[in-house]
Amino acid sequence: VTGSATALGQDDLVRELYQAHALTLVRLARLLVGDQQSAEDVVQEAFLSLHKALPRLADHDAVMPYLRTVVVNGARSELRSRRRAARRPVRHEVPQPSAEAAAMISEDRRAVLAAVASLPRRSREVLVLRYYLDLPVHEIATTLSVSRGTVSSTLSRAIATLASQLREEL
Amino acid sequence: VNELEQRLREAFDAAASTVLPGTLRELGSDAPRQPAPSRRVSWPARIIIPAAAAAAAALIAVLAFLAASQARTPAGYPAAGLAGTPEFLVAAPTWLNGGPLQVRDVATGALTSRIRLPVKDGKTTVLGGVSSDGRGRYVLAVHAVTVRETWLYQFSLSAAGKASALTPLAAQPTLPEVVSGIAASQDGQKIAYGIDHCHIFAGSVETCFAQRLAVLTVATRQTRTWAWPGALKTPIGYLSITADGSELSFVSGNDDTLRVMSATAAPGTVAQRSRIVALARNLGRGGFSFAAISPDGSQVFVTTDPGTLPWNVRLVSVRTGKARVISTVQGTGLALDPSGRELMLLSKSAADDVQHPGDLSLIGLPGGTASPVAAWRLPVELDPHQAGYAW
Repeated sequence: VTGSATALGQDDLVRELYQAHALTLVRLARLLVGDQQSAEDVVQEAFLSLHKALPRLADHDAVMPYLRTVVVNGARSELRSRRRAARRPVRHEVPQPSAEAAAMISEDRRAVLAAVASLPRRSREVLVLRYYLDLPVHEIATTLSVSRGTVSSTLSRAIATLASQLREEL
Repeated sequence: VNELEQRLREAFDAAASTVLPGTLRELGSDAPRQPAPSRRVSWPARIIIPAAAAAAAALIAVLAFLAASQARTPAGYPAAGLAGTPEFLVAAPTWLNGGPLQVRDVATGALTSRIRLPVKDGKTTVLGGVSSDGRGRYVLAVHAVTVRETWLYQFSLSAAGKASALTPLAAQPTLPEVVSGIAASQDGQKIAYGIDHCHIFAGSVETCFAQRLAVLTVATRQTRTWAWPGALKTPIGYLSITADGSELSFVSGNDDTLRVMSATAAPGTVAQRSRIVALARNLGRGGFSFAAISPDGSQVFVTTDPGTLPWNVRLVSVRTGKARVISTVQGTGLALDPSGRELMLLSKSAADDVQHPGDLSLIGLPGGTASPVAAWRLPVELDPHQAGYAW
């Protein structure tokens, strides 16, 4: 994080943070919701939320943990709204990764992603935060608002399930 | 596991890299979307809904305070020999990954002492747990990451909340693994702890697998252990012990299963020697977010984490497994006072976020009357999802 609330207006600061972190956060959201357009919506909402929360944040080190949590929560909301839409009489098309995007991912990686997609929501989140963002357990716990024990157990269980699904030996 | 972890990293990187730099729209601009139900709310709702939530939270706080002021009664609970509830709370800010412990005055939140973890051979140490015997004496487990050794230390608090120096426990067990969770009986003679095998990544304790459950008898220096069975071996959670050190309670199975076990059980596995008291799934959504056995072993106080409001504080009978809600204050348990008179709770509202995880409340037991701790707010570094607490 660069700049400061005193040197920059709040709008400018949020725009600067967006420039610096949007790509990482959209990629994180893309892994959670499955397509870029929804991921961008989630991240835009997160920065809107940041704009409101900025005066309450104690220091700039708290910005990224805050944004990660809001993005994860936004991704959950997006997935919930899709499930609600799927139950309605008028069906709406769920956003899918583009063909170009799919072509960029090899068969083995698609198999891994498919196995991840079959896991419970919390397991998917923990795996993405651990193996995409390389967050330590305590930061994942903060992001997901769960205990570090829950993160550890979820991670262990998810790895074991994936290993079984992908026919690997632990 | 390492190969699978590598495949995960590569798969995530590949999927994430489909979002190319330069393709993101500007902040504040809407993309043309396919018709789909909007999850956005109108601007009036954005103002009205948080305002209503804040008003509701304020109303709940006022009602809780009124209820507490009218209905707060003497505990009427087996006090197990303790004169009163402790005045100080010991909090470990980052639980596993370093940081000094803080001693805080429960009533005012004033920081009365900081306790730095010992450094062994100049290497990083991490805290495995801290527990109080209820008489101002504490025991904590510290793991030296690089030398793969866990040590148990003890310290005490003065009447003013000042901590003594850490001293190694005389009855020191040999522990190359990581201790997760620790619980001390009221006379300090029985110390229970979970033993995990953990992967260490970049000097930080990562994924842990439970290996054994142990109870150390300080006077005889003997340790009973029970193997932790099962292929998944998820860590033991929320370990607690009765005042006399005879019974343990803990959570297993991905935070779903509440078990009790005799501290003098015959050798065997935890599954053989423990008894399931309750399953979180039968209490609603989410796993246990806190569990502590009462000093007399008759009940376990639990909170569950459904992910969204409402949360609940329940009392589970050890004998029958029946659960009942004892408090309408929404929140997650942090620590049970060793006298069994009060539960410290982090009460939640819809407005809470990372920077303000919630407000502290004391729940009088077993009745469940609530007293908001208005004088102080939980500092950010004591995020309850990372921190450990002992009265």
